[in-house]
Amino acid sequence: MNEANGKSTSVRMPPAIWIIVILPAVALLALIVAICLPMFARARPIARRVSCAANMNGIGKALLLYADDNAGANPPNLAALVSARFIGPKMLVCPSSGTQRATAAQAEDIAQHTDYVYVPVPILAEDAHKDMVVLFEMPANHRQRGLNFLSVDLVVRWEQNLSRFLRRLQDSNDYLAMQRRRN
Amino acid sequence: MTQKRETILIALVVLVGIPGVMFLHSLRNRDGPRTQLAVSAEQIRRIGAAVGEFEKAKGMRPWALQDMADAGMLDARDLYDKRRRRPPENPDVLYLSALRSSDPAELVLLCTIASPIPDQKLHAVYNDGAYAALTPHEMVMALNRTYTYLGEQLEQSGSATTTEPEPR
Repeated sequence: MNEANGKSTSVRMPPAIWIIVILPAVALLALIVAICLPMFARARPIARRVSCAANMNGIGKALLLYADDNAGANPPNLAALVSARFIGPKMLVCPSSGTQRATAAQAEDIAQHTDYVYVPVPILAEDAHKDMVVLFEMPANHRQRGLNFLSVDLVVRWEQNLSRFLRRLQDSNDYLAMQRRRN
Repeated sequence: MTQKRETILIALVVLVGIPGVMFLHSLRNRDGPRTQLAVSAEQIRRIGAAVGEFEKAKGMRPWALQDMADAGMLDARDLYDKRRRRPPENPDVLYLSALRSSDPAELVLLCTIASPIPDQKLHAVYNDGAYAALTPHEMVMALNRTYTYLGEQLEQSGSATTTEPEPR
């Protein structure tokens, strides 16, 4: 306040203060947000992939329970696991695929509403290699970036190299072929 | 240019330009669908035809797809994606070697599980040699029918063994 003239004057910040202090702070904040945005965008697909792997893990345990209850025999299909109440229909659907889960525990209905392919390799057979594929999904469920699969040792793995996965799956097919030719 | 306009210009560059560039960069690097290597429709049709020829000549289906290439009935390059620079260890197509020609026609004999172009249909050859383009969901159902049938055949014949498998 200018007491000599009796008039009040306000103190104004020079524009240079804005440029030096506030703009860099705002720019830094905007930069942090722009870096974090892709991380948040990737979190959901990863969460769905993990949920899909959890489904397969549950199916693997159900396969073991079924084999224990039926003298080592394989279930004829995944619907048998639902009928035996080892798993629910929701576990047969990959969260990333958009497929609706089955409403009834009937084989036909479940076959229409499942995202997983079951390969009838006997998990308790002594000659079944632990790396053979028992359950797998289509890579399209996860935008062809990879797929989850369950092997004979009941471990769920994420595979991005489809060529390597096809080799494992072909081993399972060749095992089934060999078993069939023996009989 | 006046000092006020300079200030406004710098503010626009900082507040809009830098985050805008970062946002566009994040859009470019999003987790979009990935292309995968797989045989084409023409290739899988030729493989299916070669399986039929092999069976007529030898009286049984091949143990592995490479057997047909070794017998001169199939070009080895048909077993993998043409974009590959070197032939891989294993074909880019799945072969259900357990199937026999006497099995139901609607079972899947050959198929791809990924497509070179995202959202494109997958290729399948059925047990009777017919070709079909299937969505991933349809492929899951077809493969499940096939494996269910194979499982039933193995259960009926009592396939539980304890011997070591033959090497490929």
